[in-house]
Amino acid sequence: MKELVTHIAESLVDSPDQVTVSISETDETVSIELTVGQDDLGKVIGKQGRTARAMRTLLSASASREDKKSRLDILE
Amino acid sequence: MSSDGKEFYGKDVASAIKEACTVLGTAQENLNIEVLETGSTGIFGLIRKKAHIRVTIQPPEEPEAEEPKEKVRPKKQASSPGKKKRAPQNNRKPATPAETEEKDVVDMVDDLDDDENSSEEAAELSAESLEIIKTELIKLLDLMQSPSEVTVTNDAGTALCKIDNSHEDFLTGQEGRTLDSLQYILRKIVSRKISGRVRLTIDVGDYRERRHQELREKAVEYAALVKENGKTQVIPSLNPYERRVVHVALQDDTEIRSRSVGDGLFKKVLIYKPGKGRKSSGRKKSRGRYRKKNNQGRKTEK
Repeated sequence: MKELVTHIAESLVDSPDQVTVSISETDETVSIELTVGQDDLGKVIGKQGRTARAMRTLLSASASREDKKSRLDILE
Repeated sequence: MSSDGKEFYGKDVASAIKEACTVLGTAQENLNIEVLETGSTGIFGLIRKKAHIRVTIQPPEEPEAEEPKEKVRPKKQASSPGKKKRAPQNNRKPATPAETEEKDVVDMVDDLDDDENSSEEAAELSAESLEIIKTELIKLLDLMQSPSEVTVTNDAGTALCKIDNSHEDFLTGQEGRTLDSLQYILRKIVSRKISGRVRLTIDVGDYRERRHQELREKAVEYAALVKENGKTQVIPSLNPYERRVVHVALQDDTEIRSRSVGDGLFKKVLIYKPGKGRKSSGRKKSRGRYRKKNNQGRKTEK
């Protein structure tokens, strides 16, 4: 899942080297924190948060395979 | 509650209050009204009594409630998190030019032609582009741990990506939400690598065709219901493309109308009998756009 977020984020931003992703898992939840460069924030969030929502959908699909909930935080 | 109450008279309480409002130049909400005498019209105009009220002005309520409506967001919002809905405000900040598009215009079509370069002609889909799309999609599928066979073909300018059905349920998700998300992200990614606008559709197995067929049947069924008892029927939460399917399915039926209502990406579609008071009060346009020409029977096409 980490790779998924990393890949998507790096593909969407202008400066992929500033993308960092950290993941922490418990029995029930997978929580992922995504950081991107200041200027790229809008790219990973998207119009009306649409890109962020799409990423969350994909994540929750992946997580549900392991019967987990997922959570994606985009940090400033 | 200051003590400088003013007294007013009128032929009934309402007119006394009105009088008070005009004299004091404020709205009734701001007045503290004490009715001293309700008044009476009397009998045959005899024994008429005037209504008598005492009014004090209340300090106007803090108009707090109004506030969170339509303030333009201050640029930096880090200091006030969680005041409104989260997502929309965040993306305001870095001015990606495409993000300010007017919503109304994009309404039905925004799933089809997205934000990038709307003015540009659809880019020619070279074999090279198809290859890029295919590679990116395979990569995404691998990362989602559902590697699948993918074929990408050029369907009249739209890249049609077919994924085999080995992971169909997983990839479609509830009502196709996962598939839509995947499609959206793929388009975003690909449009950075191919110049110009990219049209692409992802399908798993024959999911989309099935879904559309389902929607068409539902639409027709609801339409029949509406004709029967005149009650408005609602199909909830459809994305633009699905709404289009419904509208198109009903466009030639002159007895009923369909209309999309709601905010955001997912709206519901109302199917109703025209002329029942609600009419086109709220939104302009949403019908009509798809009910132009094309008068041959729609139900025949399967």
